[in-house]
Amino acid sequence: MRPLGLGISWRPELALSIERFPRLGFVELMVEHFPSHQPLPQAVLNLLQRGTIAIPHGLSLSLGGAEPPSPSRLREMASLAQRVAAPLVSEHLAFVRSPNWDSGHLMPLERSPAGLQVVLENLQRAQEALPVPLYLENISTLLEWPDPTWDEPEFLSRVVQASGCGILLDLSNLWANCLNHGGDPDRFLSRIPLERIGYVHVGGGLEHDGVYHDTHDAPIPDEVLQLLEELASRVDLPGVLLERDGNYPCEDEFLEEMNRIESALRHGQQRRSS
Amino acid sequence: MSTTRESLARRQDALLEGLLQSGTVAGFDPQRTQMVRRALARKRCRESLASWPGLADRLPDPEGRFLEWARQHPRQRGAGPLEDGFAFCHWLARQGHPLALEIVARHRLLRGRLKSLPPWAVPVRRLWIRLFGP
Repeated sequence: MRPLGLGISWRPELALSIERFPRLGFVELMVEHFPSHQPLPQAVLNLLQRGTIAIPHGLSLSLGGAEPPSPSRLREMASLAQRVAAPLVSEHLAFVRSPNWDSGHLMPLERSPAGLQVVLENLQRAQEALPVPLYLENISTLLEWPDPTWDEPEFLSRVVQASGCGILLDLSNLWANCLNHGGDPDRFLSRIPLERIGYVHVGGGLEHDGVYHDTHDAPIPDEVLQLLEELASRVDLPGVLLERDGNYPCEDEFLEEMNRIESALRHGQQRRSS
Repeated sequence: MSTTRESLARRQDALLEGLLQSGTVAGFDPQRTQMVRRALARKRCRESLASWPGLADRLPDPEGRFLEWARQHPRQRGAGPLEDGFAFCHWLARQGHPLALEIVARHRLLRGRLKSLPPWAVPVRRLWIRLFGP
């Protein structure tokens, strides 16, 4: 796989800044926003024509849900992957629906033998239905299931080792969970198979009621960029992507965020080579 | 469905029921449960109002009204922001809100896709809603 480079989650609100950004390597396209019955927006086609890599990113497969992932949702993801000739697709290690409810947001998995068994079966079905490798993203959550068998890095490692999936490591989620549940981000990095990382997410959030919410509508916290530098000092990262879902920045602010990411990456790489 | 899946389904269902309706989930931190419950409700509100541009601008206290509606109408399985916003418009239209009345008179939602009614049908539907409700 060729390196992805520097990326951004594509949003219509940022389309112009994204198209004008000279060092863009890849974009993420939300699968649910590009249904197969609608043509792709011209702004996305322009990027594809320029050779920008596009990665379908799902929100609603509910890979850790008790019911198997829906064939029609899998078809939608596969179809977008084919339409944009994506090298890989990504989804969250989470569930979003149960027999009677739809949460509308990513919910944490029970880190138990039952939770592991079900997610592995679901992943096998998903991998069979998808034309390219599937990468799994760690989510941020305020809730924890009672009495987990494994902690988060252990569960993530078990899932990717047993399923053969890659990791989409969200450093902001990792940092937020360490902050909200206790835990050491550096130690988290030491305990997961870093060579499986396909790319990394970074984004900003806000502190509210004494907890950190990863809302993707604020500048990236310095601590997350330090963690990016630390990670880049340990391993050669194929790609890093900025997530911004609200309170959209003007072009100068957008460029500043991209510069901060590049600078953290550079510092990490320098530490590795020295 | 295997018994492992069935029992996991029950546990996941109980968690979502607590977060979307009753407000408590056995075994989970009550304070955090309430925080997530509020966050989910606010996210639903934000996304639903964003799916119907213009609605929030012409409605006094749109978040308050939406949350009032949402408390009695938990999200249906398979419904997204578009469906939620449309159902909210039905509720507003019944209370005589003019823009919401226009929205429900002009559109149909069929299997997640929004269809416009033909122009000749809109006045008929508007009158129908005024007389009999949506």
